[in-house]
Amino acid sequence: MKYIKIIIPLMLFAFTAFSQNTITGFSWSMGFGSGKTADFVSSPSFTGFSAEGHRFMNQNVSIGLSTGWNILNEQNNESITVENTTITGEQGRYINIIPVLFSASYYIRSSRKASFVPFIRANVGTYYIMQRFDIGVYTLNNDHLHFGVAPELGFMFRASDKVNILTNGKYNYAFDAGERLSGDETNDYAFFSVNLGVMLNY
Amino acid sequence: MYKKTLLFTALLGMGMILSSCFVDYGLDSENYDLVATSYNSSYNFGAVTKFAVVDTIVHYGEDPVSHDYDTQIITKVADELTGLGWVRVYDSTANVVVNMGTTSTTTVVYGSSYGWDYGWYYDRGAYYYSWYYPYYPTGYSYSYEYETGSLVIRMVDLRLAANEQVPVQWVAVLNALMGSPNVSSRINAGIDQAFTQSPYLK
Repeated sequence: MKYIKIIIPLMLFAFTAFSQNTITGFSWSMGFGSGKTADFVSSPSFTGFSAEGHRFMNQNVSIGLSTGWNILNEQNNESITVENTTITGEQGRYINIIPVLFSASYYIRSSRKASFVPFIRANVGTYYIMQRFDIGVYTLNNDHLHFGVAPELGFMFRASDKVNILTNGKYNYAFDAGERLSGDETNDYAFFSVNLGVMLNY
Repeated sequence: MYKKTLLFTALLGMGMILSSCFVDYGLDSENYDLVATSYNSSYNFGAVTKFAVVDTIVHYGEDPVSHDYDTQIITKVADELTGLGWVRVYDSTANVVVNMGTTSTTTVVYGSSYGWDYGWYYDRGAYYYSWYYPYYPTGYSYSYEYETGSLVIRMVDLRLAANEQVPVQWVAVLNALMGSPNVSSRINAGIDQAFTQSPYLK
């Protein structure tokens, strides 16, 4: 909870400070688990959002800050086998991910009024990840703050002087932190996010 | 136009935040059933041709599980073992002996701290909605308890007994919330599942 209370003022401060030569955006974020994350929740997620702000250093380069919330959930009754033991029961599997990422972006364009602007972006920061596993009457929780990185590719389509349509794809990797819910392996997470939203120019 | 875009974006954002509330599948009492099995991988189940079943189920715990289903359980387990191609015998020629027991456990859950379950708070004076954190004021807390019952099915090979101990070669545990409905059909389904997820017995 404290984490949320820190993020929101930080974002507001950042967006205010970026009041000149700045773009801010809000996106619908879809998530797709990868690797061990997909082993836990294989279903794609269409629940999530992302908020971001970027300040241009010049025509092609910006620095920024983003946050959001990605939710990966799944209900199933698959059997779980670990060595010689198998457990079967109805399960609720939940991963809630809140990233706070600083970014550097490069925009491929020849003028600020270009109508189609591809960009690449490097994100680095933290991921607060809450994992929960319900089976039968039992619940296991695992919450940790992870260091993470997220390379990103995207496009902005200029809709008007002030408004751009944004679409981007990001590979999110949260490094090992704490103990894994299952007690084995490293506690790292990976997922792809695809975002669709609006960017506003100031 | 710009204000409309901002309004649209804000509404879009609120909708996404709303849709991003924590999901809880809320497994109901009939979904609490668990079946766990484990076996000794060095034991040759393929060599088993005869089995015996102890015809009494031992009931443990302060609030023992009802005896009403003992006959059903013994008959069902014997049928499953016969289905493996094994022959039930009533003497010492049995390769393996199967015995069963039940236990009950009461769990009490106490809570008095902040939760993550965001919700909506309706303010009757101002007629607006806002975020709130559910919390429990000093002196107020919640508690609830639940009771689970377990059926344990154990398979031993008495020829391997030593020092008044005999190793368990296969075990199945059926765990369920006490007082749940449809007990008879769920016992049968649980025993079916225990043998389905133990293909190495054949």
